[in-house]
Amino acid sequence: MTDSPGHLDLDALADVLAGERDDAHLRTCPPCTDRLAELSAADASTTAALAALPAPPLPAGLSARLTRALQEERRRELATVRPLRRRPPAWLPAAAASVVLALAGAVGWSLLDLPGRGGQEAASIHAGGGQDTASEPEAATGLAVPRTGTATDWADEASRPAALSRLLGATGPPASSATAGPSGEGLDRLRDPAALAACLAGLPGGGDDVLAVDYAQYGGAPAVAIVQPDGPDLVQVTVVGSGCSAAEPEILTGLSLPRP
Amino acid sequence: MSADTDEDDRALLAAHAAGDRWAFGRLVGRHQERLWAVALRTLGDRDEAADALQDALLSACRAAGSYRGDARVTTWLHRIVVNACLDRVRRRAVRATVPLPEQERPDPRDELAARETALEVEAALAGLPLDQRAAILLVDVQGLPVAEAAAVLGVPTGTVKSRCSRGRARLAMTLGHLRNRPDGATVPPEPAHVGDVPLPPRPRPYDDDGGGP
Repeated sequence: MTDSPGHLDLDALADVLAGERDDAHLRTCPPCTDRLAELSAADASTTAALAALPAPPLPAGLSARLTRALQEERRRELATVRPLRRRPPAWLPAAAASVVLALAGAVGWSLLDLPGRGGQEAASIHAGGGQDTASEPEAATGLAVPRTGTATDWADEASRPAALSRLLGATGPPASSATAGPSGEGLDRLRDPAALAACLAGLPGGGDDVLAVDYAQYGGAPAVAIVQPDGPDLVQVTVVGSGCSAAEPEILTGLSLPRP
Repeated sequence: MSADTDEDDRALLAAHAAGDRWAFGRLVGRHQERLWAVALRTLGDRDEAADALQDALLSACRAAGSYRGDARVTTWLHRIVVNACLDRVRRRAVRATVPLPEQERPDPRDELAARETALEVEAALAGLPLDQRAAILLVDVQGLPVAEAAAVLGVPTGTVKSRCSRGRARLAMTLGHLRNRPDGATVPPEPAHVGDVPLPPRPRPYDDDGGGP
């Protein structure tokens, strides 16, 4: 590829400079050799000029725009999944009936078989569950969410499964009330049902389908963990700071955890 | 970029794929400035670059499950953003102008010369063939290794080297680092515009794709 008969053009010389072309012509053509040396010197200064280009500043508002778009994307994903989850599968009533019958049989068997200590435990758990699972539904605000205080530090990965089991009542009675757990000005504010409802409304996907709210901590700081269903096998735990509101949910982290 | 950073990126991407609502946003926050620079300089238009970056990141968010882990997360993100920008350039009609990026803050007087130089280089970059511009942006401006840029662009490393070298040769001519030869073996710049003053278009004797071997 030459512009002048017998000489290499600039693209060919650039390829030689890049080590991507070996042209015998260069060994016999002083003008082309000179031109290559010239190009090599210019290449160094051009490379330096390119490396020195300042990074263009991120336009004001672009970062927030990207965050909103990504949140909206997640909201759309949830919106397309949740209605499906709300529709119980056809086999569920029959399966539920089977489970109830099996449980009733098991309890009856244990009471008959172990009338002493075992029976007392069963009765005790039943009575305790009835008492402690008394969440604090807030009829006045329409907020009927079990609120508990396990004082768990949700930043501690090892503590999460046990806390979740306790919150959802899988391994015994959940912590009893919204007044349990860490206290402090911020968390006390979120114990107010209206403030909590506003906080939940600020979450992506809204505050519907909340399984439990835990007044707890994250990295040692007061925080609230909000547990929501995420498919049949998972729950989503969103941990928010004590300043959580509809406008600024102050989300500290979002965790997808196995449902206990 | 350190291995630790890539490990952090991989952890965030895995958390996103596992259902963490905020992991992808945190990943974007780590790299958005570099990705913005690539988008802006590839497209040359702030609004279009912002749209392309948003589209690309949403696409990456949806496709996170397809990340195979055989490249750095940043390489994967760059590939998606660069491809989104190249698609836009190829789709759009030939533009009458290539707006230069606006400077958001005034520079002090003692930076004026550097700023003018930067503007000249930006204008010359905007006039390069698209493939050469993309290669130079990744390698010479963003500092990606050639192999990584090749992975981003989906071409062999030799092609990246050739495109960069040819592009720099054109830039050297445009910027006056290399004199024109009297025998006519010159590289005319692409039609480009500096501010509102258009440079006269000149014929190009070279291939449109600007590609090399």
